[in-house]
Amino acid sequence: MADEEAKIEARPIHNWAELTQLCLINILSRLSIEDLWRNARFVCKHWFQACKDPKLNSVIDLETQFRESDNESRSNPEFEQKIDSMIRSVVGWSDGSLTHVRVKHCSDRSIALIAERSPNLQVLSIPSCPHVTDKAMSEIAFGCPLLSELDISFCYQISHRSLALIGQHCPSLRILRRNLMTRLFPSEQESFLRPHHGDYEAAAIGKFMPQLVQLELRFSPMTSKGLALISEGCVNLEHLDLFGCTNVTSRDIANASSSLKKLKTLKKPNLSLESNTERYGHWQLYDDRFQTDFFRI
Amino acid sequence: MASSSKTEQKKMLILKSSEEEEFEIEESIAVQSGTIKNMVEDDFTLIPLPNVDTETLIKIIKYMKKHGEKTKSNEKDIEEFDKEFVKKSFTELKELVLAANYLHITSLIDLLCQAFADRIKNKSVKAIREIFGIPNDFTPEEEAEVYEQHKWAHEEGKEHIDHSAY
Repeated sequence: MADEEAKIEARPIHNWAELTQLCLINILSRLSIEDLWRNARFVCKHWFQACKDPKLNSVIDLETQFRESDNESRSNPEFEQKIDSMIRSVVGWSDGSLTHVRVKHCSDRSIALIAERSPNLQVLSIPSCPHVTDKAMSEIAFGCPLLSELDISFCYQISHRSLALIGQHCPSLRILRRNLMTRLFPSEQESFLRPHHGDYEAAAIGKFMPQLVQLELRFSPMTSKGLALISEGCVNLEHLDLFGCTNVTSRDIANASSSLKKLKTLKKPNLSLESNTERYGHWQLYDDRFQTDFFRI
Repeated sequence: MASSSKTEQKKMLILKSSEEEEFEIEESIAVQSGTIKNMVEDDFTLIPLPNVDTETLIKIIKYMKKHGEKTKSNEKDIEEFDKEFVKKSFTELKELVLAANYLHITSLIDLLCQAFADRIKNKSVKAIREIFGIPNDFTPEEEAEVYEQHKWAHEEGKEHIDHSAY
């Protein structure tokens, strides 16, 4: 056995600027999005380039940037343009590695762009995007087969047709949020108050999304018919939020809960001031406050 | 970590720093370094590290020894060690990360990169440059252009260009 000395080329790496790209990306990947976009990027040309690495552009998460109270002030064309510019840039840098998108107030164009370039997309959360239509969502259905979480709450140009397409082409979908608003709407949103629209959406969900685990349909106008279709079709459902669904009765809910064998939590339509979330280990059948059909349209 | 039983002779290696100082270390501990592991597989027992100075090598050996004795019961102990380990000057951390990178010690690289990230979180562009000693190589025109292109990143009304930072 020879005590051999390994022959290694002495390559002096004492220059910080030569810090390998991997190390720099490693450091940058631990920064928040704000730090990356507002500060790190502008330090020098090397860092500017490094910030375009796909590993640093696989998530667009602006959730912390949006506060509920800002919803009104942010829905203007300038703000939408800003969001769009950002999405355009990050999608370009992601080079197909985009996995999570959480934004509000983006355009139809942006969604189409995401659909085109993000085959690995798992999470798409775009509540409050009034300009996103069925057309862009159909492109998502075809372009993002790995989609597992979708939030299209308060998007009034997206219809049940998108739900059907997504259900059919995204077999991994586990979480769907399709909440609507309670406050007074501008007129174009009024049609969403009609029960049959609620039922069309429920039908699409029940028919095409049997693998759903979590479903939020706050203030959906669906009737007992819609809820029945969901309970028949979404056999794997564990969490169901029906807060504000005034067209379903407590009997409908009781039926639903007995059909859905895996159900763990259910938020009832209860509009009283008391706590509106109740967790059931054992199912409690009747809620007296909801024996009325008063709100049926 | 493969560790030899107490009855066997533990295989030792010699690591040599750039300043030609030699340090004996158990092979089972040293192979936490991917680079050293490769050389060991080629039957080398004396391992020169021309890219690592003595001071840095001593720290790295200390790290590897601590992490080499990792068991289920001393996790917290090692966490404390790591916390203390990164309480070093920027220059020291810099030397360490370069060496850890060269030696391919993944856990140490991650520990050090996290330490750097912690130091630049929420810091301004100017502050980051100062901390890292990085000169601004954008011309004023280039800088303005780049900020313009990324207008979306900036909050309305907040000016991020610091023209005094040249």
